[in-house]
Amino acid sequence: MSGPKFPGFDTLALHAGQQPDRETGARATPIYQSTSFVFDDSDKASSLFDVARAGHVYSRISNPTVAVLEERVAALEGGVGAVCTASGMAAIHLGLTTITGAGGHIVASRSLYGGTHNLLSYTLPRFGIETTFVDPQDPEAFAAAIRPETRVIFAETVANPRCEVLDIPRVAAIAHEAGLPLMIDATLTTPCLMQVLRLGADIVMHSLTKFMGGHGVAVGGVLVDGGRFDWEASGRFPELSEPYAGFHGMNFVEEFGPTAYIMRARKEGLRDFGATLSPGNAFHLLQGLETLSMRMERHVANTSSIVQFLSQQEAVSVVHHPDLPTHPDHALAQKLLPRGAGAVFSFELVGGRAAGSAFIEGLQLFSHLANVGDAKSLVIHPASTTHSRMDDADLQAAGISPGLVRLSVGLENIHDLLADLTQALRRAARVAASAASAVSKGDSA
Amino acid sequence: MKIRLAGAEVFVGQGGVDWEAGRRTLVLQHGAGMDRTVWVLLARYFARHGFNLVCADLPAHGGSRGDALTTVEAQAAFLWQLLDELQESHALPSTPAVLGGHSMGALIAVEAAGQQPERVEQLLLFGSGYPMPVAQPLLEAAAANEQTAVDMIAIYSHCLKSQLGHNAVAGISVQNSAMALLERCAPGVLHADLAACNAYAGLDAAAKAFGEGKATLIVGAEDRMTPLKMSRNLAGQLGAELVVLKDCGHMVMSEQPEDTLQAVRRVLL
Repeated sequence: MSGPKFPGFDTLALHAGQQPDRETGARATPIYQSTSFVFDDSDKASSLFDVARAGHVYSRISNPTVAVLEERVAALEGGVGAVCTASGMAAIHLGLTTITGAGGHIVASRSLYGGTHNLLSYTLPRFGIETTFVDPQDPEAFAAAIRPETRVIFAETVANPRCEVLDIPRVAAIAHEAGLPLMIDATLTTPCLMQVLRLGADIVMHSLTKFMGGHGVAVGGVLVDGGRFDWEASGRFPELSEPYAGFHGMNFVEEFGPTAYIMRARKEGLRDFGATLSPGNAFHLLQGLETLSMRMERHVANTSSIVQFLSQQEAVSVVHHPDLPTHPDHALAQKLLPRGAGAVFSFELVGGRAAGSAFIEGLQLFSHLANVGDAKSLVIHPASTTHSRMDDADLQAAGISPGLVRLSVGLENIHDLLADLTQALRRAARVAASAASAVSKGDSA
Repeated sequence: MKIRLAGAEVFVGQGGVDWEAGRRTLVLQHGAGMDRTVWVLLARYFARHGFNLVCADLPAHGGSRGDALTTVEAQAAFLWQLLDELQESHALPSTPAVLGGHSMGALIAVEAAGQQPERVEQLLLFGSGYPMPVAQPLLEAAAANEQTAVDMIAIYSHCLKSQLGHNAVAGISVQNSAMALLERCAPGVLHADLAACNAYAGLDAAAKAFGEGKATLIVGAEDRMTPLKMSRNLAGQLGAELVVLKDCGHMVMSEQPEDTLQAVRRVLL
């Protein structure tokens, strides 16, 4: 028996979850733009409702096109299964509410995407779910924040925008010691750069809108179950280990074992919250996934060049990217992210907010908008946009200064990107010099 | 449901439906390193089509405690001990049962039928063959509790199409789910199972005791764990009907759930 070989990552990105269509021979995944699916007979109908046969009933719960995307992402992550959602935020919501409810508690990194911060800080508390935020660079802080009612630890692989790298093996060990799952938002790294389930995480979610899709034409999310967490042994998850009156008394652990969590997410969360991904968007996202690893290589290569370039500019006071030895998580990134720490990072300009504005407005190839992970290069000022709902204290805790600029480096020719940055930096430098001169004159007067 | 048997907890799946008098009994026994969840669709289907389902986790598997049993003969004896207990104390009707099993579970079912043929209505075997030799590298990896053992089984148990996917159950990876199950085995359990398969030599006697023409064997055309040649041999010994599923490896229930169901329906309904 020769050594076992699984299909490689690139092969899975192209093929996982799909076979040529039996009826038509279509090689690409067809868009099954249908809300519902005809039952062969009454026995098939009742069996589908009883989860006694496999198949599709209604596209809020499952759809053949969406199912291909779900299985493909599960394969790329090494998970037992996945559920796609209408957006990344819907995936976070589905992931958390499948195992938490009123009276529940979450321990989360304090360095999170602004939308996630809103959900945990303001929205979930209205439904009785509290969150304690901790410094992601201090794994012991996660342990210290765990309470008897804690149900999950949540963090991002590489925090937006200062690129703090989560020590997933350590935090996973802390979570498991307490009988808790570790849920990770891996949007900025994708399974191409880091397979978090293999590092010890139990649940992973993505905003597919970003690098996974890569084209910026479809909003979507996905929740992936690693299938390794023992929900019954933990004793904290009656949603999974006890009969559920809302689904014929089903005990998900008893029936599904390693897929209990993701089955509950679909059977309850998609059914009742209904944040479903459309088949059209699933199709677009599948097209993007096919080239994920090639795109990520280019994203990382372009980012590496730009990080080096910016770190040598007098107009730039600091660059936050783990590629740089000066970054506090440089060594950790070398260990956990050997293929690169992603293409979203931030830097600070000499001259603060005014210089930042001049820089952004001076850019011509970089688009000023609220997204990351597009094939095109993007730029934004977090304090006034993505993180605008955070107060100053939260901003400071998340390491976001008023002059911070965030880049999402795209796939353009690197020489063109560097030229665009160069001319915009000149503008920023002029504004900074003018402001410094004004301050100096003011001092003299 | 969980019961205690010989001092240890045993988990018994019922397909989500309580047992009732007047129904036929269908016993489905999982294979090496697995547990009752491999039967989820078949169990839930036939529990709603006139059968009392008994999908037990062998000792040290799934939700059952105790030490792993090291021979197929001992596993078959455990199955009868369990059925005795269920019939005596848990309202399982005392009628002859359809004994089913996957891979090693199929050997257990045949051996059990040989031990007490009068209590077996018919045999329903999945992804199996005889003899069931296990390659030395796999045995050694399992003995060392290495991940390679799980990887080997996951790869050789699924045809390439199944490895790539397109599962009828939306969003579920059959290969990764199988790996997650295998990785849950306590140290030594997978090796004990594989060694039991490798050593089992009692099928001739069991088949003779049970008799011919009361068995069906459902296998995958691309099974590399128990190749078709071995399946044909097993079917010949039992005088069994052999059903070969296309685009299917060793994990027939998860790789081709609908084709498997239809094959079983033809036998049982």
